[in-house]
Parts: sequence; structure tokens; C-alpha cells
Amino acid sequence: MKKTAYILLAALFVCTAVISAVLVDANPYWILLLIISVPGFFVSAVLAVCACSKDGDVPFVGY
Amino acid sequence: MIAFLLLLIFAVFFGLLLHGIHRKVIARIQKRPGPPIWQEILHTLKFAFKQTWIPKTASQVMYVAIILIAIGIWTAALYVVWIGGSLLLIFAFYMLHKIVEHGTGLSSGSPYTKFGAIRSVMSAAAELPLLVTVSVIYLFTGTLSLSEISAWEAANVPLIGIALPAAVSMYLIILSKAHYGPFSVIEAKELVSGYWTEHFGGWRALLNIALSLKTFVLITVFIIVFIGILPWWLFLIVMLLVMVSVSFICASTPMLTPYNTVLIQTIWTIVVCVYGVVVWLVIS
Repeated sequence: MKKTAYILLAALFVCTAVISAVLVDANPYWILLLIISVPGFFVSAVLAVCACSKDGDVPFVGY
Repeated sequence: MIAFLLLLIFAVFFGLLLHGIHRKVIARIQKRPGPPIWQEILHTLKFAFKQTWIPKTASQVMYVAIILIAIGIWTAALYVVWIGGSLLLIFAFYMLHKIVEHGTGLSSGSPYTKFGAIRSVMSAAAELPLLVTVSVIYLFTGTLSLSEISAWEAANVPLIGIALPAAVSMYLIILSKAHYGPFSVIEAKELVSGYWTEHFGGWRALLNIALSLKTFVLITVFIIVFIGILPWWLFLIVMLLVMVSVSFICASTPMLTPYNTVLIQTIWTIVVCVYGVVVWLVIS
């Protein structure tokens, strides 16, 4: 996937996280969506940084 | 005091179990069988009975003292959580952990551990959003005492809903300190095991205990501050969920370069600072 695709995915996860955080007061089950969207945002953000870098898609795998 | 000692023993074993589950989840996501979930407990017991000495190149006092400091600060942090003390104290202990990482790396005299120690200074970028987190929590609740924050949440709403960026900052801290994570540059494999490469045998067992306490305390504080006090069985389930979500990130992302680690954490710091200013303007 390209960098823009990961950035869009991260933006989508941010929107999902914010909406579920707003709704979690009314219905606690929204926290399940929050639990998925925050890690999803971090994965997308990290992969967006790595994507299309000059060293390749994965510039540095330390383990 | 006996109750706290029992909690301490439980925290060590549960923290080690969380580390084992972390490794297992990463392995299963990466289609590997992975170790059994109690592997970290077995590792710690095994290391505790192995032959132990101090390397010739090490700073002898520092090499041993830093481990005692590590156990000391996380035991103290657990005690602060136990009495429902100040969030500032918890974060102060967390900042002292930076000295542990740095000291562990520098004390052995090995170049690998020194690189780990230097990277631990760079990874301080992850701690900057914590300052905003503390401020935002105070703006909403009017207190920094853990017991009073949880009482406020019981009377009002969980902070995770109204202070999501602050919660994400705390989550970033847990992620940054998790093994095999995208931000775990201080223990990257090109540095063997990073800052704790040269601590082996009994020293490694004690460091494992300190790090398991650290994981237990950080996740516990995250739940108390942003979700509130839960029944003990639900609390353990939520701890497990937080750990598994961190494992998911660790399994599906490569380890970043130190530069990119700082870049992402600095961008998040700016976002949280803007959020903190908005909250301050709205509330005051």
C-alpha cells in the first residue's frame, strides 16, 4: 500500500476513535470500537512512516 | 502491609504472565507457534538460579545498584497505586525509570548496551505528552489523586470519553515500553538485547521482575485514570485487553528507526498540546 493509503486509513481510525469516545458515555459498548480503533491508528501511522521510504517499505526491522 | 506484599507477588507473576501473553499473541499474529504464555515466568525462575557474576568492564557498584533501583521505584509506584496516591508521583517514578534504562546501559561497559542507553534518552520524546495528560486530567477532575480521580469518574463519566487524546498519550507510553514494539529502539536486536544485554543470570531475573512490575503498574494506572475502578475480575480482563491491543500493534509493525520514533512521538506531542490548550480555554 502507498503512503497516502496508510494516512487515509489512520485518519479513518482517528474519526472512528473520536466518534466512539463521544458515544461511550451513552453506551459503554462503544469502548469495543475504541479498543480497536486506537491500535489501528498507531499501526497505520507507523506503516505510513515506513511506506515508500528510500530503504524500502520496511526500513528497519530490529527483531 | 501483608496485603500489599501479597499484591506485590501477584503483580510480579501477573506482569510476567502479561509479557508471556504479549509474546504469544505476537507469534500467533505472525503465524508462528510462539512460546507458552508462562515462558517469561519460567525464564525468570531459570535466570534466578543460573551462575551470576559481574563483567570485568562493568562499573561494579552501578551495575548492581541500578537493578535494586529498578525494583525499588516500581515497588514504590505499586504502593502509590495501592494507597490511591498522587498521579504525579507515579509519573515521577516513571521518569526515574529513564535513569534505570540509561544506567543499566552505561554500567556494563559494552558498546551495545551504551547504544541502548543513548537511545533511551531519545525515547524521552514519548514522555512529553504526559505533561499535557496530567494537566488535562487536573482540568477535568480538579485533583491528581488516583482515589479522587476514580471517585470523580464514578460520579461523572470515564475520562476516556472526554479526554481521549490524554488517554492515547498514556497508551503511547505503554506501547513505547512494550517489548518488540515499533518504538522499542532501546532494545533492538541489532544491539543484541539493547540496554540490558550484559545483565545476565540473577541480574536478568531481577530486571525481569522490575519490568513486569512496570507493565502491571502502567496498565493499572491507565485503567484507573481513564476507565475507573472496576470489579477485580473485569479489571484483569481489561488489563489483558490493553496488553493484547499493544501486542497487535507490535506484531503488525516493524521497529522504527530512532529518527522516525522521535518524529511520530513529537507529532503526537504537538497534537496533544493543541488539545490541552483547547480544553484549558473551554474549561476556564
